[in-house]
Amino acid sequence: MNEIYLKIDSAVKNYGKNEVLNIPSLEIKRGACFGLVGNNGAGKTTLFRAILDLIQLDNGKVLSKDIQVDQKEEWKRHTGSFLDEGFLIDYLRPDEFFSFVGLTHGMEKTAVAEQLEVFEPFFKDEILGHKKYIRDLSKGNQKKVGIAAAFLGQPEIVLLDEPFANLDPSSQFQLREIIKTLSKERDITMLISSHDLTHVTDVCSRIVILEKGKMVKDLQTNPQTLQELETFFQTI
Amino acid sequence: MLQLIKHSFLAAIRRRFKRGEWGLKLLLGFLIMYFGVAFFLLGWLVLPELAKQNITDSVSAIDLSARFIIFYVVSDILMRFFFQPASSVELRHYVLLPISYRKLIHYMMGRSMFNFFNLLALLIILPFAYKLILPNHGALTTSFWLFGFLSILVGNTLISAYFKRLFAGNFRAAILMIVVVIGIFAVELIEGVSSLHISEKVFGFVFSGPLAIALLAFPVLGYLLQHRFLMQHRYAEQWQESGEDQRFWNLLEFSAKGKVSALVANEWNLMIRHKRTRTLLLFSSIFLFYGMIFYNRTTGEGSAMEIFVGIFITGFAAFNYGQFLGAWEGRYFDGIFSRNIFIEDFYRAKFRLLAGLMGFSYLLSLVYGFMEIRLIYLHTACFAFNLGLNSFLLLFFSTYQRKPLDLSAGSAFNYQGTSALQFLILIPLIILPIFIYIAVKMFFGMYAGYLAVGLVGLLSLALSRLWIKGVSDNFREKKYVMADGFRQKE
Repeated sequence: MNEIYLKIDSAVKNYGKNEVLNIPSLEIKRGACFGLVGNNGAGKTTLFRAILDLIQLDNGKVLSKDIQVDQKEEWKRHTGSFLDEGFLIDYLRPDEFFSFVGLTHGMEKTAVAEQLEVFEPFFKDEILGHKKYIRDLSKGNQKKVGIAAAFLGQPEIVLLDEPFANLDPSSQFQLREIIKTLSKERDITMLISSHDLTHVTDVCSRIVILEKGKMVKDLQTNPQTLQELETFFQTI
Repeated sequence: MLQLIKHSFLAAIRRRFKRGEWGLKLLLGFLIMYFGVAFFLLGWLVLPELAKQNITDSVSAIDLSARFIIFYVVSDILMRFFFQPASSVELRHYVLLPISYRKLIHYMMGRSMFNFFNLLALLIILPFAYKLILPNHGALTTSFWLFGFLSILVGNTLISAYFKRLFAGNFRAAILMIVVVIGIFAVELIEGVSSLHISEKVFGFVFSGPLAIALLAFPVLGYLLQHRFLMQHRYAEQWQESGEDQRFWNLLEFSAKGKVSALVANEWNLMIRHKRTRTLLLFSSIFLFYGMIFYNRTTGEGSAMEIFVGIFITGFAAFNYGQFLGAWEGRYFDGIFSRNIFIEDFYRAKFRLLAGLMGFSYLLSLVYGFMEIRLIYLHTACFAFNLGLNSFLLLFFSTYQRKPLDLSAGSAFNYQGTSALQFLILIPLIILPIFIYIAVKMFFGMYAGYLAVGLVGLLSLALSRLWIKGVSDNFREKKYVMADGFRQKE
């Protein structure tokens, strides 16, 4: 079970003279829950976008299950993601949106409903079966829709950018449980970025700190990790 | 009050020409001039000429104008109902300030007078009065006539705004209105009962004498209705426009089964759920009448201009929507391309959507067959060309778009995201078939010219797989630049 699901090889991205990403080597194993922390502008979203082939790297490559993402599109089949509200199609109703995402994976409506069952307590009856468009939902509920959609279609790799932000406290805890359950039961490789150190240490088995585009720490989570992270960000 | 007027003036200026490009400004200026001049000429030259031919001893100029007033009133109210903004949003900025609410209402009603429809109507009414009524009936009668017409104009503006507010979110009422209008037009077709005739008798009598002053009742009614309505709905939450006529549009929703058709359905929903795209669709449908003015008038039979008109009639909706093909979904770009959607499928869906728009326009355009059977052949050829070649050109150009469109904002005459490029890409779409037609017609005649235009379209359609692949390959290169452009907030 030691397959490498995501491999980043000497990835460099510059905007003008600014180097925003420089990762010589990063390998993420199957079923791992990988946490990414760092201050604003550290390159978290840039890294995610590079993995999703939404930006062009100046150098290096990203391999998703051995597929180089900028060469072939097949990685899309096994990847689910939610980075920002642009990933929602906000003029649709949540149900329409889910069935659209389902259709892109060739799923029938019943299969979509089945896969959404895990999220029912998370949705709190405020999302499914309502006439409201996504654009008229609260920020928190929009986030819930996006996160749930990222898990549709049996993805093997899921990327979530700041999933805990904008959620109310109990939803944050529910989400933690959902992520843990799904990654264990479905063996999903998870990449999660967060500003919330407590959540990320609770959920992730490995945590990387990004600073100015570089990986400055690579930690296996243990009881001291949270303390270590806090010290790092206090002194930086 | 003066401050309010100043604000709305600034809002208008700053919205439309906010960081605009010079090329675009020039083009817009040109378009405004073009329509202004066109309507002026219509009112000054064409209409009086047409009218003169119909004026006889028994039918005076006043009778003639009165004949159409009933049509004018009902179709005008309907048009305004869909297009004229019954704006209330701006009120929000002012309700908290120490300005009396009554004053705000008056300001709002006054402001609604300054709109496109009224300007157009004036451009027709004033020359008509000067050239036909004045010489035939004298100054006094002319003033009565003018007073009557202006009353109707102001009344229409107020009443249609009232309807718009009243029926917001009530799509049954909207349908009822359409039915009533169609009904009035239909009565005309029944033998013996002519609404034109009734209109002529009643209004002809009213317009020619002091009775015209009674028409003042019309704007007064409009004023009272709106005043009452606005006084009863003073709270911001009652102003929400989101419900509006959405329910009417929701009738047009459809859902899909396959992957590509899911994309088509999605984009169709985009079109019917945003004001800007809906207006675009309605505006395009009005454009179908373009040929009414053109065929047989300014052009001779078989002239190359007819190809121009034919391409436009069968393709206007698709061109209009297609010039922003990628940008409509600009805000969703990252999401779409990181999902399990392959680029080829994406463009296949776009093609189907364009084909649908073109096909629909084509079907409607067949009505021109009643004018002349030849026009059916013309439109078929143009449709084939649009479908086979122009659609792919639009797909190709869409890979050069970098600006996302703000779908939530505004509707008619909204140029956000427009650049001169959008107008330029329309040129090859139209020039090419005209050239083909002229070349072939020179040697083999008109119908061969139609055939050639149609055949080029069909041939190109046969190569559609190749086109889709080419566009997708081109897209692959541009993808990152596009994504970056679409991520920028305006």
